[in-house]
Amino acid sequence: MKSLAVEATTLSAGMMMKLKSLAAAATTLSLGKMALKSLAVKAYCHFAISLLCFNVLFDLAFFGIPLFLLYKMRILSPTLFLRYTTFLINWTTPIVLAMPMVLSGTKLYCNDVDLLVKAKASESSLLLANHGSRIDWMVGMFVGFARDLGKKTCNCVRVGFVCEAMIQFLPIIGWYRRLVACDIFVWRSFKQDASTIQNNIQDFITAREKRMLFLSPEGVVVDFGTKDFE
Amino acid sequence: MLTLAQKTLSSKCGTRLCRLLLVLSLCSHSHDTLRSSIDACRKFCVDQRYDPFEYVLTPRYKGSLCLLQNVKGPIISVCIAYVRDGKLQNCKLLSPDRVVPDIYTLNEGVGGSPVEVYIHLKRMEIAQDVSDPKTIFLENYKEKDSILKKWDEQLLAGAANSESWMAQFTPIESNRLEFAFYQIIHTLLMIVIGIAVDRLDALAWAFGILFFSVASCHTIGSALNSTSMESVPFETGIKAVVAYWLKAKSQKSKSD
Repeated sequence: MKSLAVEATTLSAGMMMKLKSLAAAATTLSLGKMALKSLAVKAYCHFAISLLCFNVLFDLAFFGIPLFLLYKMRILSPTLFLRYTTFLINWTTPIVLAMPMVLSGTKLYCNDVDLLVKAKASESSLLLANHGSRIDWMVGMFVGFARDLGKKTCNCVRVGFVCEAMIQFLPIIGWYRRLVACDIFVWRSFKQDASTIQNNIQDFITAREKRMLFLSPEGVVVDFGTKDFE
Repeated sequence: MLTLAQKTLSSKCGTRLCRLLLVLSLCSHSHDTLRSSIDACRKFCVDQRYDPFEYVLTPRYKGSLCLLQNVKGPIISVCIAYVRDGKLQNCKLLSPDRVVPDIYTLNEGVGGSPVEVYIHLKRMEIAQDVSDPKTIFLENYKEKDSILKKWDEQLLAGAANSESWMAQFTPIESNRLEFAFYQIIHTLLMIVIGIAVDRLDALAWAFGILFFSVASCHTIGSALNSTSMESVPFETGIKAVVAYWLKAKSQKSKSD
């Protein structure tokens, strides 16, 4: 009897060991799968952003820079330049937003669609937003481009931004925003910025080109890295 | 609060390059700069007899004045709440759970947890000839702070999906087919032009180089700064390198 009991104990201990090793293997496997998935997602993100850059670079090189040069050489009037760049922006916007905003499943909701429709219909409007993310500009562009607002429909409208001067020097998107989108770039010096703002807004009013202007009056995104918390 | 390196740049700000470097350095906010910004904003709130804001910083009302005076149309207050996996991303400023969504966060949605964006709009009544918008702005930001606080509470209580809460929102739909159509047309146009000028291989190379640059720039930036800051491509890398360079410069001048 004793030997039987010892055998049973040894057997169960062996089984427990096997089960434990199986569980460990399963955990390793699921961890491996998770790591693989996160790696695949990261690669997708790099691909999506590269494609975004590629598309914008193409539009900038083939359409944006020629338009800008024609405008600078005074062959195009400011009115025509703004009109053509609006066409170009409406052509580029869906390809900028396609992967990050649409295919990734991002969902947008608004509490006052009527007000949004009014803002889009008016010649110029100013939207003062909190600065809780680095994608406020994409949300702004999406809202400007959206035509189906619940039960209401409206036209897409050009969206401009008041942003830090550094953005215009960043490759591709920064150059596009500077040369095509005619955003307002501020150096955070009242003397210099006031005239830039006035001239930019006046150009759009004179050309009767509709635009929604986005500004985050906070000016800074509070974004601590994990190292900061450590 | 400028660092020593920033002060040196500021004193030599005559040239455009120095000015650019100064702006770059000011944009690559270090931990200390951010912390002092938050403290300054809180102090400002107390000075103005407001409770310190927890979810937003105080607005720079002086810089916005010029815009208010020039824009002819409606002025609208926008408060955006970013929600992912049932958590408010732009939660309290000093919370370790705070995540600042960037382009990578959006794209990561394909992995199964997309970002939900809730936009609160409210018309602001501001006279065109306003000379001091401080009170209007502070009141507006107090409201934004309370909206985000409410969002945080609703999500923590698990009540954000309730019908009564969601009834205030209308979804902004995107036409997937239209976006896909634009993408396909655009790609076809690039290929056609590539074939026409007999440079299809150059296009492929250009995309490969872009992919490598985007990936390496982001990886290096994230490693240096321990956070992704991609509002536009390459930003994480560029800002992180500038911040690292400034830090090294400050440390060197301290040791000298």
